[in-house]
Amino acid sequence: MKYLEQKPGASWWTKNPRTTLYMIRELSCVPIAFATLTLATVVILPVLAYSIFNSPPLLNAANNFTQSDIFKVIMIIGLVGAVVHTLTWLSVMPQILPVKLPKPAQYIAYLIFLGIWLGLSFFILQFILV
Amino acid sequence: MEINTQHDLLIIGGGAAGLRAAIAAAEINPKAKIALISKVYPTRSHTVSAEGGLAAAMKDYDSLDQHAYDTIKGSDFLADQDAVEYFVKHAKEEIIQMEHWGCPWSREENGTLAVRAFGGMSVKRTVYAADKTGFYMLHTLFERTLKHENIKRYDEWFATKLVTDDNGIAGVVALQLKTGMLQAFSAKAIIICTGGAGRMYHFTTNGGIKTGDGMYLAYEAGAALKDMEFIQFHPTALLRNGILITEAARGEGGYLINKNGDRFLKDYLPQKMELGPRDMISRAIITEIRAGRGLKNQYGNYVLLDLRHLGDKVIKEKLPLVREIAMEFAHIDPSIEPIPVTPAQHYTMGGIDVDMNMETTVSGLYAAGETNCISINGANRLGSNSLTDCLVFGKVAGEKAAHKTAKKSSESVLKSALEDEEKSLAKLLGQKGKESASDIRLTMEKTMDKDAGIYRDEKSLQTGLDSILELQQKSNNVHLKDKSIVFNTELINYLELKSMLTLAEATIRSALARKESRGSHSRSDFPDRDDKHFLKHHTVSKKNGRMELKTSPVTITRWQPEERKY
Amino acid sequence: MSKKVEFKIKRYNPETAESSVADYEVPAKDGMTVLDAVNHIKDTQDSSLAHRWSCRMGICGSCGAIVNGKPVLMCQTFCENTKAPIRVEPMRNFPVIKDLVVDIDSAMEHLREAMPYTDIINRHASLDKEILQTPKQQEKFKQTSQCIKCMLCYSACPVVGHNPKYIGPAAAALADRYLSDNHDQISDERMDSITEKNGIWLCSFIGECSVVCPKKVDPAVALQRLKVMGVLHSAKKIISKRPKKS
Repeated sequence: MKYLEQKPGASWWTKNPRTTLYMIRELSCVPIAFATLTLATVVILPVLAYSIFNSPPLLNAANNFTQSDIFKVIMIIGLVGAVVHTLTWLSVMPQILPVKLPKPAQYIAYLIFLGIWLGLSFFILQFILV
Repeated sequence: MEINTQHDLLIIGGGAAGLRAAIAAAEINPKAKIALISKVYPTRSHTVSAEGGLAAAMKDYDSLDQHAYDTIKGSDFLADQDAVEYFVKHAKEEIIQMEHWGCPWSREENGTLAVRAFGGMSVKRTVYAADKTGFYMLHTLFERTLKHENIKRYDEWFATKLVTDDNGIAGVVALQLKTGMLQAFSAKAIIICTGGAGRMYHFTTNGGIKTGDGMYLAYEAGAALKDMEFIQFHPTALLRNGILITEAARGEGGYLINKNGDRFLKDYLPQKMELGPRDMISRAIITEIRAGRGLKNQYGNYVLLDLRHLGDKVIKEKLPLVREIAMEFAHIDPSIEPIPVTPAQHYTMGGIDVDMNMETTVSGLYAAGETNCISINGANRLGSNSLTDCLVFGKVAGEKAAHKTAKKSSESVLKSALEDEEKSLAKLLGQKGKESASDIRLTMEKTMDKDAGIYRDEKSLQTGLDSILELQQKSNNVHLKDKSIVFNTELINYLELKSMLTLAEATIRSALARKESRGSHSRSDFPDRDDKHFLKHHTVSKKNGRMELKTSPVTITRWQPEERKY
Repeated sequence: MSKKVEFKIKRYNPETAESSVADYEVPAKDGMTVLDAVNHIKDTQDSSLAHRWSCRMGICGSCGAIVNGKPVLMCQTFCENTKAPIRVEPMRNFPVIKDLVVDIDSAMEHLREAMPYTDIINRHASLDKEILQTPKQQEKFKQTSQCIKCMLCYSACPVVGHNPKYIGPAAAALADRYLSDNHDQISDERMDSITEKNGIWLCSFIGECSVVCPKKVDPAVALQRLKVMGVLHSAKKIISKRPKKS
C-alpha cells in the first residue's frame, strides 16, 4: 500500500498568472541587487580608494566604466527592477492596512500610494540630487 | 492485528456531544486516557450544520419551570420530567461555559448575550451565533479539545463492533480508513455520540454521514433503543435539495404563506403561528398541500417562507447563511422573493435508551447527543433544545464515564472479537452477489419517505416493514466492487446501510405498535392522543437474534399531561 | 432532454500505486453540483470511486477538490458554470490515499500550534455571568472565525507544498482569530508558538490561500498582520529581558 506523494515541483509558479506575478515581484530584487552591487564596486569603492589611498588609476578606470554601455544597461535594468518592485510592493500594501478596506477603496489607496511615491521621487530628483 | 490497551475511556463520535464529553472527562480527571474515535474529522460532524441556536432560561423574564414546561408540552408529554428538570437547570451554565471558551454568541449592543424567539418556546430564550450556531459551537469545542493532551484523537476510524463480556462493555473494534488496519480498543467505559439516523430517509436535512452507526452498534451489543417511532420533520427545508432553512428565520419574524398568499397557520396554531412546534407546523404544511393550497413545481409540492418584510439588513446580519443558501441553491434573494420550502426529515428523537447517568442497559456503555433517548424530547423536540442537550448531557456522560471503574477485561475477549471482525470483513469484501448496495439504499430511503413519513397508517407501515425486511435479505447478497481495504468508502457505505436497515425496522415496528398520534408520530388511522394506553415509551432490543418490543414508563414529576394547543 | 455532462476524474489505486483518469457521463440536471455528479457516478456507474462529503451545503469542509484546475468545494461548484469535460482531481500538496481522498492529518495537526483556546489553566470564572463582548469587538475576529478547516488553502499554498512542516494558512488564521478575541489570555504563549521555526515567518505573501478560500477568511492578510504582531512581540521580549536599573 502506497500513497501518492504530491510535490509542487520547480515550475510551480508558472501554473497561474498570480503566482507568476508573485515570482516577478520577488525576482525584481535581483536586478536591483545587481545594479546596487555594480554601483558600489564601480563608483563608491574607487572614490574611497582615491580619498584614502590617493590612487587616481582606479578612479579613472571606474569613471571610464561608468561611460560604457554595459554600465548603462545594468542601471536601466536595475531601474526597471526597482519600478516593478515598488509597483508590486505598493499594490499589496492596501490589503494589509490596519483598517480593512473594500476592494474599490483598495484600488484608490493604491493610486494614492503611487501618487505619494511619484511625488517623493520627483522631489528627491529635483531638490536633493540636482 | 492489534489490541490497543492505552485508553480507559473511548468516545465514539466527534460531534458536539462527543467533544463535550471528552472535555468533561479530561477536566474531571486530567490523568484519564481518553480516545475520541470518529469516522470523520470532528469538524465534519453534522453538528456543524445546526443553525438556529440553543435554548436556556437565561434572562430575568424566564424561569426554569417555564423552560421545562415548554419542553414537556412540546414533547407531547412523553418526556421524562426528571431528566427535563435536570436539563433546564444546567442549560445556562453550559452556554456560559462555551462563552468562556470563546464561542462567539451573538450579542446585544452592550455586550450581553442575545436571545431570539424559537418554535414552541413561550419566551425568547434561544442563544445564537448569527445563523451558524452549530458551526461555531462545534469548532469551539474541537479547538478546546486541542488543549487537553490526554484526549487522543482517532480521526477517520470506523467502529464496526462493540465488544462485551460478562461485566458489560469491554471495548470496540475499529477500522482505520487510511490504512485499512483493524484494531481492538479496550476500555472501562465507552460513550456513543454518533448522532441520529436521518439518512434512512431520502428527503432529509441531514448530511451523508448521519447513518445511525452508533445506535446499531449499541443494539447489537444488547443495549435497548427507545422511542424509535418518533422522527422529526423540519417544516422548512429548501425544496430543491432538503438543505435546512433554520427555524430562526421564523424566529426573526418570517411568515409561512400558501398559494393564496395567506399565513395559513392561523387555522392550525392561532396563537403561536409560525413559532409553533415543528411537528404541528409540518403537519399543517402537508395538510395545506393536500387541500390544494400549496404550490407545485418540477421539484415537488411546497409552501413559501416569506422573509421580505424583515429587510435586507436584518437578513444579512441575523440570517446570513439562509441568504447564502437561498441565493446559491435556489437563485433567490430572500429580501426580494419568498423561499420555497417543504418538510424534510431532520432529527431522530429516538435512540439508545439511557438513564440519568447516560448509561445504557449495558454496563459501561453510555450515550449522549442525538444518538441517545433519555428522554427529554419525548414525541417531539423543540427547536434549539438539541444543541443544549448535547452540552448538558455530553458533560454528564463524560463525567460519569470518566469515573467508571471496572475490572480490566481479558485481552482474549478482545483478541477473539478482532479475529471475528477480520474474518467478517474479509468475507464481505470477497462476497459474490448480484445486489447493488446503492439501489437497496435508495429503495430504503424512498420506502421510509413514503411509508413512515409525517402521516402513517397500519397499511403504509406494514408495507414499509415488508419492504425493509426484504431489503435486509437482499443486503446479504451485495457485491462490492472495491476489494481494497484502504479507504474503501463502498465498504463503509455498506456497513452504514446495514445499520440503517436495522434502525428502519425498529422505527416501523415501534410505529406499528403505537396506535395513537402523539407529537411527530401521526397515525391517520388513530388520529388522537391516547394517554390511557400509550403514555409510555417503546423500547426495542435484540433477543435471540430477533427484534423484541417492550414498553417502559414515562417519569412524570410535576406536569400532568394536558391537551396540546398552541 | 437527455443532455449529458462529461467528467474526467483522476483515480489512484493505493494497492497498485497506479494513477489513471477515468471518463464518466452524468445526465444533466438543473442545479446539479459536481458533488451531486460524483455521488451519482458512485451510485450508478462506479461504486469504487472514493471521495469525502457530508453536509452538501458548504459548511463541513469535507469535499475539497481541484475542479478544472481550481481548488473548490465540490458541493458549491455547479456543473452549469463549469466547462465540460469537467476535470476532477484530488487536492494538491497532500499525499493521495485513494482517488479524490488525500491525507490532511498534517494540516489538522498544525492547528495545535495556533493554541486555539482561551486559556491555559482551567479558569474557574463564574458560570453565571458572561464575559461582555460587544458586536464591535466581535467584528475583529468575525472573518477569521469563518474557517471551516477544508484545507483548500494548504492545497494552494506553494510554501506548504515545498515544506509540509510550515504552520500554514488555516492554523495562522486560527491563531489570529484567538489573538483578536477579547477573551484571550495567552497571547504571549501563542505568539511564541507561531513564531517558531516553520512558523508564520515562512509566509511569502503569495496570496493563493486567500484566493481559494471558500469562506473568504483571507488568511493571507491575517498572516501579514501576525508578522507585524510577531515583530512587536519579539521587541517586547527583548526589551523586557534588558537588565533592570539597580
